[in-house]
Amino acid sequence: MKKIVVASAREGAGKTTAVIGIGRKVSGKIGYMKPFGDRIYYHKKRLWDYDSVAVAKTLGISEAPEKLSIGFEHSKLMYMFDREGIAKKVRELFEEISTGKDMVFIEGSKDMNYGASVNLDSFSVARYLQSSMLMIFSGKEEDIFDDIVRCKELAEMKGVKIVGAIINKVRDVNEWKEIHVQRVEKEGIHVLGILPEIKELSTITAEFVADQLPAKVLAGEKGLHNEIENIFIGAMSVSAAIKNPLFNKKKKLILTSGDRTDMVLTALREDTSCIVLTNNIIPPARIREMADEKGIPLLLTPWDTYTSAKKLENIKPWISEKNEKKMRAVETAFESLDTSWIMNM
Amino acid sequence: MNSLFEPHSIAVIGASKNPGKIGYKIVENIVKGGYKGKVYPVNPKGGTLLDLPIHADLKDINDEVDVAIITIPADSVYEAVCACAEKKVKYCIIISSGFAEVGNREEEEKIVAVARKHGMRILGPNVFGIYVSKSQLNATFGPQNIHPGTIAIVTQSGALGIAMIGKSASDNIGISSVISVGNKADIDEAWILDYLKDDETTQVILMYVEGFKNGEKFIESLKRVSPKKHIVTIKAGKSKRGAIAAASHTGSLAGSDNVFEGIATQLGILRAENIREAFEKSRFLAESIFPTGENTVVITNGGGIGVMCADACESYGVKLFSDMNMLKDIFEDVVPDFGSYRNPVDLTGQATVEDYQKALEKALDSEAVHSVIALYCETAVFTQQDIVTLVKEYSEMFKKKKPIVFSLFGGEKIDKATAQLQAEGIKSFDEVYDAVASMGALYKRYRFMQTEREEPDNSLENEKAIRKIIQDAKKEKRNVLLPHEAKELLKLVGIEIPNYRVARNLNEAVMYAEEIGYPVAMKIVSEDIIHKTEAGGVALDLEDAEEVMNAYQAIVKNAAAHFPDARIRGVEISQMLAKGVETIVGGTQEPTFGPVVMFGLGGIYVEAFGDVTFRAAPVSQKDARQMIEETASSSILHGVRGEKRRDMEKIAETIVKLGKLISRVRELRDVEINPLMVYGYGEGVKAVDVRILLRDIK
Repeated sequence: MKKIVVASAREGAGKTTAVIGIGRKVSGKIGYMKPFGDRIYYHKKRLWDYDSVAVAKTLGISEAPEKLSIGFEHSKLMYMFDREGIAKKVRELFEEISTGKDMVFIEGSKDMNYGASVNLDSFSVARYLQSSMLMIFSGKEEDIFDDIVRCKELAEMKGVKIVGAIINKVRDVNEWKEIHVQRVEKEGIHVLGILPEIKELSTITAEFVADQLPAKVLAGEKGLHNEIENIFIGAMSVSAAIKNPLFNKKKKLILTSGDRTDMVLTALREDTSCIVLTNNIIPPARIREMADEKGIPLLLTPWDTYTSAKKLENIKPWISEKNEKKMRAVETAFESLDTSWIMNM
Repeated sequence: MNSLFEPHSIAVIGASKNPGKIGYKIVENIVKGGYKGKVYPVNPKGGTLLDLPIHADLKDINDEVDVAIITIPADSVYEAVCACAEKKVKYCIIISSGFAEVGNREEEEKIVAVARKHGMRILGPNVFGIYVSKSQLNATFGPQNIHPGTIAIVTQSGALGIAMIGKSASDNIGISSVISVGNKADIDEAWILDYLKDDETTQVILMYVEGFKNGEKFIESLKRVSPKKHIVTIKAGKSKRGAIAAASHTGSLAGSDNVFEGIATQLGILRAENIREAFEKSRFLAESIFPTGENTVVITNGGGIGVMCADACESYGVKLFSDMNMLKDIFEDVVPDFGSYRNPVDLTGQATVEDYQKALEKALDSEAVHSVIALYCETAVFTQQDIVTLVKEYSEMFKKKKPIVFSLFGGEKIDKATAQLQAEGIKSFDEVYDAVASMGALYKRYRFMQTEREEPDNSLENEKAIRKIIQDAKKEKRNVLLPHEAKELLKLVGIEIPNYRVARNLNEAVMYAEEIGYPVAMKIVSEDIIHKTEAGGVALDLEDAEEVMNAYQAIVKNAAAHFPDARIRGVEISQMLAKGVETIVGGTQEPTFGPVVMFGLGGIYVEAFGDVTFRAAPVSQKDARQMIEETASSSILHGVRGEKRRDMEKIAETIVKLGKLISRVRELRDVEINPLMVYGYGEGVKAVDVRILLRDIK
């Protein structure tokens, strides 16, 4: 049975995507755990990691998602475990989920430091399990170089081996190959792959917005899968809005107060993916009916427009097993990735 | 004696010889109205007006002046008021407009200041004057043919007031006084009400109001007047206060009309939707004797209209006499075989004048019958004169014994009969609902007068400790109390709350949950997170340590994700209460009327159903019980479908306590308990959640 800790220096580098991409390429039965859960989903008094659900569903993992993490908050881990205890717990969890598996992915915490104070950072986890690490890096070149050096030091300090790195979300793959790879290799980290940014992954859907804001779906449920590529804040008059080029773009989310009937009506006549209504103001019935007819979701939030806009801005796209288009894009992106190194582990 | 209503002498500043001017009309009305005091027209041009010498200057009048009526342009009014003050005039009626109503507040304040300095009072500006029947004083520029009577009209709108005088004259309605209050720069409704309270010529006060400058003062005045005089109000401006910006249900539901409705019920004030209704109710109250009980009998010659009348009685709270044995005893002899002595007493379409006379006499003579609604549908059996005579005779016979209303329905014959009756000053209704509405108004007053009033207790225990909590929040520049502060405050007021602790970490969360006992509820404590449920900051019904740990992590994580800048004070762990009936009890400082309390069906559907009622705070236990009974959901509290009766006494106690709190501690802006969980009779109530907002810190 093979095992690998998939870690990153910074949040949002693409660990989950990498697990799914590589997991779909390798043969055999796959196991997965994410000791320090992060993107939480709390439902019916149960708590699990959103990424774990995506990975579990995509790679056919049978364990219940809440069984794939040890904790989600420092305070719980501090309350439950000391240094020895946490190592023991990680090993126990691994034992449980690795039984009968050919390959196990252990997803690290959100960045290279996260969890260090409760001994559940990615490097510590790799040490407890005596597992090699696959690092995923993304961002500006100089940040990546800094991160590589620091991660190497940390791995050495913890006595774990980094099998290599995937440089992810790269704008110019050739430039990386020609100029930067050498530098990384010189630092002693083997570059296993350079992957371009997957555009499809950066789109969000109306349903995701409703889930993340969170907002109540008032109408237009059949358009919950509508994709959003632009955000327009309808704070001005309709006549001013329609002159704005952004308003005339496709696949847009319109953010406006629930009592701006004029703005909502105009948005419903346009190519709009969804409308976020602020201040808890429910628009009249005829507007809700029109949204149903057009399949444009109306999402109601209790917050004012400014707060809602800030919250919208903070929404980062997550990968979801429900979005087949995204899954196909991941498969395509990882097709070219050489995974022969797994055989040599 | 009040010199405004019974002046010995009046000066009209701006008196004019031009009949098209207000300055002429007022002098003419005073003179032609038969005023017995002295009238001094004042105008620098001099001369005579309606045989009265015109004084060039107020100073030239060699007499004391009780009332000065000012009709000159706004920019000269201040000077005139100064002259009046110097002359030691007691009251100035400023007819002139062009002050606060057009934004010229400064000038108005200047005028009031000089008047106050000299102990002079101001009516107006922007009024049409005053009419007082007992002084034969018509100092208005309205119509002249006002009928003296017992209804006093107090109006904020000048034009409407003049129109109302005209209407009262054409409908033959007797008026005791008409006072227009205009901008209410000094004298307001409250002051006038206090005068009318002891005015022997007034029985009913009809008020048209748009808004109040000092609602609390007005309420205090209504409290004094309502037990002595009937008050009928038309209040314009029913639109709700901006519900959007309100931070609490109480705030958003407290549209000034909702609040006024509650206060009207509390103080026995009658409301009218329109002027016609206001006149009809006022006239009926003025002319009718008070009933001695609630047994009302309907006498009709048509089954259909009888049924409509029964429906109207239910709508307007008129109770139909239903003792069949007694009804049979009283009416059996006068009802034909194919008629019905059941109430409505149906004399059938063939009923003659004699049949009506017999039935009405029976009703009049029977001690068991306390009031009568007589209906008549036009038939060939009656002549126009028969109708007139019947209504006239029996109105007179009933006058000093029992209340009676007539509703006549039909064509030309009825219209002519009604007009003939009106000309003779006798009211009959064509629409049965209007007739019953007037009877209903009389019964509302009857019940109000029958109810022994309980003075609300305004003492507040632990006031010092309560103020300390508020001070601490203010020190931190907060205008919202944190949940644990709000709960402590409720405890101090004596309102029961579930056990709770605030955990600052997961160790404490689990420890407190074990201490309190499962199941528990958890909630984020942060003044920066208002919509806690939506922000994922609430978890309910947690039954063991693992569920508490899951919930704790989710709550803390959600708060950090949705509100990264919020100041988190911890997570509140509280006892999860058994299900009861969820009600809402709130208190707010209403911008117009001051402290008010609210009660209604609670939970998340508060605003959707809007089944709430208000009262001016503080309230008595009796007021609070009445509030509970008034809501549509009171039937739930009485127990539906085999459920047991709920502890309404404890709800009432909670309302009373909250009323004391909101009226004593004015720093509190909104106090809202939602839900107040109500258990079975004797099992009490518990405040599950409370939100307390403070007045903005300046």
